[in-house]
Amino acid sequence: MAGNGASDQGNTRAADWMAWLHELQGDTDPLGVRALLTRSATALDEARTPAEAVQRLIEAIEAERAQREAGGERLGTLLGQWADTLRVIGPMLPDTTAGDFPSLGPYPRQQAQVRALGERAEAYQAALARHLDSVTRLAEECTAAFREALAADSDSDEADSPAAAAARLDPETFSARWSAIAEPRYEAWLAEPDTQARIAELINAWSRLVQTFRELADELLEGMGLPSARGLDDLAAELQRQRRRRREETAALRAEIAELRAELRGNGGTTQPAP
Amino acid sequence: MSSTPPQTDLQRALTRAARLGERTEPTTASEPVTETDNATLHRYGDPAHPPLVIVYSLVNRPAILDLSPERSVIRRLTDGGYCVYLIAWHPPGLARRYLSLADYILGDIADAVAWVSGRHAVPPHLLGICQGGVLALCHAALASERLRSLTTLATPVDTGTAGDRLAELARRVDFDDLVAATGNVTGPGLATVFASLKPFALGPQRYGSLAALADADDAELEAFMRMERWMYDGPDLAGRAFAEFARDIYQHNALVQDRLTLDGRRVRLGRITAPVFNAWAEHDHLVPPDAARALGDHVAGACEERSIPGGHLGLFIGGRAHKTLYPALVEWLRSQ
Repeated sequence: MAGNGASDQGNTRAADWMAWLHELQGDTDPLGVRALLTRSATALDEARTPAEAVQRLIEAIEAERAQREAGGERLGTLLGQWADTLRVIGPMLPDTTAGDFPSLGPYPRQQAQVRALGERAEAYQAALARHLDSVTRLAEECTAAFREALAADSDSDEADSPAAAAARLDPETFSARWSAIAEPRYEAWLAEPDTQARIAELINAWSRLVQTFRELADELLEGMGLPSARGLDDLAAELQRQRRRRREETAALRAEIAELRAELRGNGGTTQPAP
Repeated sequence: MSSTPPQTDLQRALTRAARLGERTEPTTASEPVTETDNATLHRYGDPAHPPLVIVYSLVNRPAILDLSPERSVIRRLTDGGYCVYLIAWHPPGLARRYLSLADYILGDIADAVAWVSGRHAVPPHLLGICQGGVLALCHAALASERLRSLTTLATPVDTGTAGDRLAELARRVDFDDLVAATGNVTGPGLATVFASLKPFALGPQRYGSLAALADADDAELEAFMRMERWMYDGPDLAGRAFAEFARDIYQHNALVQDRLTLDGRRVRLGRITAPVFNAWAEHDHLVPPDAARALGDHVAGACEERSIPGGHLGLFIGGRAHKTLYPALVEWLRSQ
């Protein structure tokens, strides 16, 4: 295996690697998942009724559990070896974000898209977290102010008549008071340049994330020979070019007609180009 | 035996509203007279009367102009002696995501104005509403001589004024990226943005007022529900046109800075020589008064200005608007 601790990481020998790889070959199944599946499949295969199948499954699980308990020491050894190996591999890898190195190997564009998806998802989550944090602070501020107002009411309830106290608890009055307290705070919050910047940041991050999703989905669909949004966009853009050409021709024709009419009226004046 | 607790006013109002069903027919009779590339032109009133063309916003549906007989802008205008044409925009499908502002202004509006001019043999009055006001202004700046007059209602002209919340929120958003992700922009999405500017007024306060309609007549309850549907049933917007509008009008303030170009032609408000009537609401949170008021400083011709107390929608359905603003507008139109 690749060394036995951080101190000898630099002295990893080929023999260590070979030993470790040897551990992985053959029937290595440290978590017992494959063995459990095999036992379960066999158990189900042999069962003749659903009740018997369940019973055999229970037996299979118990048997595998016993096997695992017995092999716990081996699992511990393997996990230790894996951890040591990762400590060796770690320093060999670049200590930079994925965006800092180029795509290598086949499908470089797709690699870049997948990488962009990760980055943009992260940017969106960060923008969303900032916005939600700000909304939460606003909500807490409004709630605290409302609580204070209710506490003040409670003090005066003792002095007021029961009817006046009950009126304050009327749902409509209650809702109106909440609005009176929360609305100016909300509007002040919305007017803050920081809030506006956070909202814009969230919208921009969302737009970029969705665009990346669309690109990936388009690649997938086109790979299967199916129509993609990108293909439909091309058609829409082509229609738009035709529409614009027709509109320009119509405008030119309309200007010509206006000019001819002016000439027919005998004033010979020129007209402005049609809009 | 347990007894059913009595319904609250809100429950009764909701139960009644659910039974009313969805009335979709307009209040005022109209007929479709022609189609442009992206709209149907509807005619209201007597074709023998002088024509007036309404350019509504692309953002919502024009039902707000004809919500009930008592609060119908269209009826005020037809009663005032005008043959009203409404450009009713078609929501764009995905194949039209690249429609631009130029398509609407140089295409549909120009075609509609040309069609009406041809039928009536006189240039029409043009009336633009909210975002439709911007489209109308652009048309007027490029072809002022083709109009008898221009009216703008709640139209954002100068988006650089203090407290313009929509402009502030739009400032740092990358709209090209946004529409690259969404294609077209959904109506419900935009409605949510607008509602988020006034969540209390449009949430607990509005629905709280529904309880007061528990014993109101059907017409009143129906008007509430029609307004509800109008607010949250906006059409999708063509992605490119939306991005252009947000970027040019809201980020670059291009109208007052003479920076807007359509198919290479610069839109200059100073070239609007037709008489202008400009009205706004004094407590409009979507189009603040200063944003609308600025128009008078930029057009070449005379500009009649009116403001009324109330919010954005009050300009179209408010009692005060129908009592004072629209009679004044009709009077002004007659004088042109």
